[in-house]
Parts: sequence; structure tokens; C-alpha cells
Amino acid sequence: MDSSPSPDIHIPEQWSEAAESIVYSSRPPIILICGAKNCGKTTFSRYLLNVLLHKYPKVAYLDTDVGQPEFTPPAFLSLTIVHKVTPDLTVPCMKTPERCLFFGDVSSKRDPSTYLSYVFALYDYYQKEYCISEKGKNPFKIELPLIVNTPGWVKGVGYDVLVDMLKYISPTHVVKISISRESKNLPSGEFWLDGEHDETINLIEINSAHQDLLNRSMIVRKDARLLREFRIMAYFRQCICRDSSISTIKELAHALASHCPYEVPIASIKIQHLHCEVPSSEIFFTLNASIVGLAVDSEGLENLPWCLGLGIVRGIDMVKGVLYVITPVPHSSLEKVNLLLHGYIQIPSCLLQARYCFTFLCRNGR
Amino acid sequence: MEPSSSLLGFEEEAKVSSSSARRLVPWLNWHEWLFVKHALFSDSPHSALKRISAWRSRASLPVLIEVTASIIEIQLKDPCFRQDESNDASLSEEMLAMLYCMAIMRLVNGVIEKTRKKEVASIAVAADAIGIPRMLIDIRHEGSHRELPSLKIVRSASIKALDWLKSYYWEPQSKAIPFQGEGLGEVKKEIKSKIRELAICLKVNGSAQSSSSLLKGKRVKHGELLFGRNKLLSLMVGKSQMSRTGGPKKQISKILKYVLRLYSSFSSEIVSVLLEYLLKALSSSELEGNADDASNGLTTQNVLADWKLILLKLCNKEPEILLNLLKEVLDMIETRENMKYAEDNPNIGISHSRPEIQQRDYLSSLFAWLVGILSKVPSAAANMPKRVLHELLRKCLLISRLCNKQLVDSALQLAELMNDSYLKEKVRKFSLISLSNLDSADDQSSLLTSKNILKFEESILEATKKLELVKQQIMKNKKPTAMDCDTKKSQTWTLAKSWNPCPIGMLPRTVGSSGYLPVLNVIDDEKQNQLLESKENWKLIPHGNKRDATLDLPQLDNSTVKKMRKTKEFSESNNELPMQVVKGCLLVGGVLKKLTEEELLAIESSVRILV
Repeated sequence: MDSSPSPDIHIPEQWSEAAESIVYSSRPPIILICGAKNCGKTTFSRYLLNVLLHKYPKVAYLDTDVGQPEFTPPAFLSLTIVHKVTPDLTVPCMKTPERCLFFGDVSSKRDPSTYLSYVFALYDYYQKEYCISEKGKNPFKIELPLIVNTPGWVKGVGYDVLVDMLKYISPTHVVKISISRESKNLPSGEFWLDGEHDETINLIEINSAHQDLLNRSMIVRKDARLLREFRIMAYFRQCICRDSSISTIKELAHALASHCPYEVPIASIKIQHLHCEVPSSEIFFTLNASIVGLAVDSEGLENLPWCLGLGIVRGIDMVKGVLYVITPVPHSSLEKVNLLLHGYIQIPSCLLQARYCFTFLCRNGR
Repeated sequence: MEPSSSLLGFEEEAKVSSSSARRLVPWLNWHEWLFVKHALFSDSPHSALKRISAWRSRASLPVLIEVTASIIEIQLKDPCFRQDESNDASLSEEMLAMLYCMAIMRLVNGVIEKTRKKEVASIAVAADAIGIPRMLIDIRHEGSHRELPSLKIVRSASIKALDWLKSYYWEPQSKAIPFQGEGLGEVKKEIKSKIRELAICLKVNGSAQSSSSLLKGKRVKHGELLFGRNKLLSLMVGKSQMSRTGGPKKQISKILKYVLRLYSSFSSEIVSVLLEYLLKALSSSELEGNADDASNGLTTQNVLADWKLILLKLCNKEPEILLNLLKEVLDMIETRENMKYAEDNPNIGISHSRPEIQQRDYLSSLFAWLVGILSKVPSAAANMPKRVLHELLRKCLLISRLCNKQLVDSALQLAELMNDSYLKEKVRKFSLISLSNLDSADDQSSLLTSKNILKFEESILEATKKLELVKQQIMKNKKPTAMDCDTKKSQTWTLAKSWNPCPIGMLPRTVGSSGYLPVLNVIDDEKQNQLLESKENWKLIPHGNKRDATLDLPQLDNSTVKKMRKTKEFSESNNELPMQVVKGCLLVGGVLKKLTEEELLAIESSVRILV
């Protein structure tokens, strides 16, 4: 397969062999990629995506990494249908997912059960739409392969979550990427099956890409928090029209502060706090200048709040009874939104720095 | 892969120096923090605890605040601290001890983990360095590794912990807040010194080219002109020239930034300080030279030429300052005239004392000069909404009924700015009428009748303006009905009709881009109506408040009387018809009452605020 990766990324032979073996399977595969933090899961998944796109017209991507998702801003679980090859494996790009759910936190640690229910819901959606059911109800359904990306939390509660995911999804291929430090890796073999062996599952164990002379994995340390902030800023950059030239973060902050927001009456919107209990008298103190998920209440099965995107509540006018929200979600879709989800996503501090006035910021101190 | 911003389309930026880097905090401004601090250590910390739980959901709450809240909340459940409240579902002693112990553990760990380097210093050593009482360290150790400490011990430890937290965090932080607890006098001093600095810098920068000793003397003289005959200040001017460090332009922009940052919280103070200086400059220059009417206009220009530069710079960045200055001057003229008429007996002739006339002249010439600046500041004139200029013009015309030629001229200029030829015509006609009445100013009786005529004229003008506004409103109301034919559903998400840029978290002002702080309290039912009305009154003052926006209800009561003066303007500038339902209520004697229109007018006419 000669999909051309970017020159900075080195695809070891082990990886390309693994990808080939996956592609050559007869039926559209369901692949789950797991491994420790920073071992290269996302890079491998991008590579695999490109490889699969040579054979299939479209590929489904279920992203369960809420801390560093592939196509959405952080705190989302999403199912995206990809039809374009990613030319540069280093650059993440924003895509609008087919379906997504706002989890409200960058890790599943606060609420693993809700996290799992969201993952299962998205997988069920995939099954219904893109996977041939055994009864063969709809012969015209296009069957798509599915890549499932997982977070790098492989110990403790994260491990349990991963095992539950594997048991529910039962993928055809599991790609486990290991790093040289054994203690950080997932257990070998089919760790999620309690001793039984499942013939239909192919376990592919590969090593991380970069290894030094002593065969130690070279982990690239990422400042996850900074990356998330940049992601969020890139997301809201879409609010400003493409023609205007915004090249620095300061310009973006100024543009967002001047951008005309949407006005929505408080009475016609429900507000829900995820992960946290807030007294009703204090709701607006939490909402002002914060990031919220824009969701539609009780539409999907099991009353899940399907989400359309993120918004910044940039002001609240209690006298008029309106909220002012900035969001790149198109106006036509916005009409359905009747639920604002407030999670633990912090607004990037650089967006709050207006010219002469600083709200919610203080100089470094205690 | 270095997380470079260029990945996502942003240019690489120079690393922000840590001194200027700011940290995200969950409170909107220091006023909120102070409210929480005050309530937390008072007898009923419930409101503070609620607010802190709201802060917690913003995910940037400093651990010290969180721990303080935990300890106080646990103490609320402890019957030892709350003898008055009877707890039916009281916790057992074991549970209370566990809660205290956990809170203390979190305190010790939270504070120390940040300050110590692991494996370099043990926890005890690091704790000593900060000054945590030894007892807390011991409790943490005991609770983690051995038996749960007794309730008595952890209770007394909690008291110690709170005292320590106060001394380690709460007190030092509140002292570090700028301008808090010092009163407005301090703020005014600060503003004055900054504006002085700005003036001096600009002056020095302006005449930086030539460096002869002759010029030095001239600079000092100008310094005197700027600030009146104040020896100290002229000395300051001289001094600052010697010790000019750093590029003058840089310094100017630094001071500008500082003043503008102050503007968002203390706008009225800045306006009053500027007015003070301007009037002083005018009056001091008069004493100097001859009070020659012919050259009066000229000297105003010269005298205030230096201030022109300062004002231009300020108003370029924040056009609201100019607007507020104009309004203040008009108010001052009006109140002076009203005072005069209140004292006047119908029989007494024009018995104005000389300083009175002078002061009024100063004010009018100041107004004319300011309008001149308004026309020069391109951004201000362009961006100011028509409505605002309309207001100004109307007020000007109302006041100029006192046959003040300068004001009439300024009104003409204002009309010019608005690019409305129809309006210009009307104003011109009005000015002609008022000027012709000037000729017969000596005759007392004719003054009275001409005053009546003028009053009629101005009421007609007002009526025309009102008609225009009503027309506009009808047009606006027509538009949504046209839209309704197309869209059957009413839209919940609509684009805001107009938007003035303002920082995220604040609400936009009518003019300028500094924004004002929102009031976010949710109060139920009766109190809500009161608050709505007070907030509405508060909102009536288009330019900043004398006090900070997040006021408590009782404080707002005191200022409703003053704000009533503005209700008349509000009714004209209000585009939202639904709000008029609430408008009828006023806090009269602390009780919400629905007043009829006549009662409102009666109150308005009987209330005259003397500034």
C-alpha cells in the first residue's frame, strides 16, 4: 500500500504489515486500537484510515478518546464517516461527526458508566446504519468498516472501562500497541476475554514506532492541556468567516469578542450540569463565559442528548432574560437545540483577554 | 511533536512572559471574590458555600478555597459549632471525625504538593517552610496510616486550620487586590496621577524635537496652564523631563492602557477627573488674561489645545469617554440653570453674579469645544448610534432655551454630525428663533414671553422627535410581522440585532467597547420583581455606574431616587415595548408600587437633583 504519509512520520514495517492484514479481510472489519498513553494509537489509526480508504469508499471512525479526539473538540464521543484520505498524518483536522455526544470531561474517571453508555449508544447506531444485520433486512445498506480509537488510560478504572468496551463491541481485529516499558502496557494476549478464546478475533500486537538503539520506545511528550486549548480555539475559529485573516491568538480573541452572538431566551432552554451539582440560584454564575455543549433533548433512543457542537456563553442578560452564545453550528441546525450541557471544559484563558479588561483572570499568585 | 500553534493555523507567537501570564479563575472579578470571603467567615456562610459550589463546576477553583469551604461546611454540621440549629439528621461522631480528617488531609496534601519537589524534602520539612501548624501534619499522618484521630482533636485542628488559611491565603490575597477597600478617594487619586502623567508625557513627546533651554521654560509654563497655577505640579513637570526613561511613545501607550483598564470599573470617576482638570484649565487661564469676550473663543482653543491631544488619544480607544463628558457638561449647565430659576423670584431681574455667568460660559464653551472634538474623532462619530446623538442634541436644545448662543451653535454642529438634512433644517430654524429672541434680552417682560415662545418651540421639537421615534418603532414592529408570514415557528435562536464588542463575560455598552458587568443573581418571585425594577433603573444610566455593578439590593434602593431623573430619557430611548409593563413599578419607601403616569410625572417634576 503506498499511501504517502508525511515525511516526519515513520511507519515501521510492522505497522504496514498489520494494516495490510486488516485490509485483506473479506468482510468490512471492525478494528479497535488500544495501548498505553502516547504509544502512537492515533497515528496508527490515521494511517489505517488512509489504507482502508483505498479499498472502501467510506470508513466509519468511532472516537472514544475524550481527551484528544480526532475530529472534534475535546470532551466529545463521536462517530464520523470519513471519505477523504488524510494527506498529512501529523495534522489533525476538524470534521463534523455523523453523531456525537458531549461527555463534558477530558477523561472518563468521573463517570465511567455514563461514558460507557455513550460508547455503546454510538456503536449501536453504527450497527444499525452501517453494518449488515444477520436478518438482512435492508439489502441496500452500505457496509462500512469501523475503526475504534481508545484513550491511553490502561490501568485501574481505565482498564476496566476498556475491557467492558471490548466485550460489548467484539471487534474483528484488535490492534494492541506496546511500548518498551512493560509495566505500562496492557496485559498480553486476549486480556478481555476471561480465559476463553474467540476464534473470530484477530489480535495484532505491534510495537510503538520509535525505538532507540537499546530498543526503548521514545515517547513524545505532549502537553495535553495546551493541545486541548488549541483544539478548542481552532473549533471556534470556524465562527469567524473564512475570508478574514486571523493569524494570531490575540486576533482570534478580539474577533470572538466582537462577533455578533446568537440570542436565546433563558426560558426556552434547559440547562444541565454534568458531573456536578449546582444550586439553582447559582446557575448563571457557572454559565457566564463558559463552554457548553449544544444538545437536543430526548430525541434519540434511550433519551440520549445528541449533541450538535460547542458554544461559548459569552454573556447573560438577566434583565432581558437572554443568553448570548457564540457557536459555529449553522443557524438552521441550531433551532433544534433546547439543552445546554455544562461540563468541566474550561474556556481557554487567552480568549478572555480583551484589550483592557480581564474577566475571570488573575495574575499568577496562589 | 511539539504542540505548536501553527499546527492549527495560528502563527507562532513569542512566549508570553510568566509575569504577564494570567491564570483562569472561576470568579468574574474581585468583587465577587470579596463577597464570598466576607460571607464565608460570617455567621451564615450558606450563600458563600453555594457560590463556591458554583465555582467548583468551572473547574479552575484553587484548592485553598475549596478546602476552606469544606472545613466550614463540616463545621456547619457539627453541633458544637452550631448550637442554635437543631440537626435532626445529625452525623455520628465517627462520621464527623472522618470528615474533618479528610478535609485536613486534603489541605495538607493540596498545599504542599505544589510547593515541594518530590523526594527532595519530606512533607514535614516542606510544611514547616510554609508554616502549616504541626498538628495538621500529624493528623494527616495519623489518619492515613493509623487510627482515625478523635473528634475533639480534629475539631480544634479545624479551627487552627481556618486561622492558618486566613493568614496564608485569604488576607494576603485581599490585600493584593488593586483598589479594593480603599474607597473611591484612592481611586480618584490614582486616576489623577495617571492622567497627569499622560499629559506630561504627551507634552514632552510633542515638543521633543527642539531641545533648547527656551523650550524648557515654555514647557513649564504649559504645565502650569494645564493644571492651573500649582507650583507642585509645575515642579513635577520639570522633574519628569529629567527622569524620562524608556521611549516616550511606549510610556504613553502604557499609561493609556492603564487608564483604559481603570475605565471599565471606574468610568464615572475618570470622567469627573477629566472635567475637573478641563474646567480648572479654563478658569485659571481666564484669571491670567483679560476677560475679553471677543477673544474668548480663541483662548479656549489655545488653552485646551494640550488637552485636545489627550482627549483625542483617549477617545480614539474608548469613544464613550467623550460621550460621557458631553453629557456631564450638559447636566452641569442644566442644574446650574435650574438652581438659578429655583431661587429666582419673578420680580427680581437678572441678578447673576459674575462668577456664575463665568462658570456658565466656561461650561458652554467647553461643550462647544468637546463637540468640536467629537467631529474630529472619526471612529467615535461613525460608531455612535444615532439614538445616542439624538439624545444629546435634544438635551442641548432643551438647555439652550436660555438664549445661550454657544449651545445653539454646538447643537447645529451635532446635527451636522448626524448627516440628517431634515433634522439640520429644523435645528437651524430653531436656532434662528432663539437668536432673534436674544436681541430682546434686556427687556424683562419680553424675556418671559420669549421664554414661553421658546418653550413652545422646544416642545414642538420634542413632539416631532417623539413622532419620529414612534414611527421608527412602528416600522420595526412591522418587520417581524412580515417575517412571521414566512416562518410559522417562532425562532428561539436569533442573531442579536446589534452588537458592540465587549470582553467575553460582560455585556455590551451602547457606545464603546468596554462592556459592563452583568448581575447574575437569581432571586425568586417578589424579590425578583424588585430586583428587575432596580436593575432596570440601574440600566438606565447609559454610562457607567458610580458603584460597581454587582450591588446588593439595599444599596440599589438608595440610588433609585437619583435614577428616576433618567426615566424620562429611558422612555424615549427604549426600544423594547414589553418592558414598559414593569416600568410602572417604583420602589417607593421600600415598597414596590404600581404608579400611574401622572404620579410618575408628578414625582419627576418635584425631584430636582442637585449635583
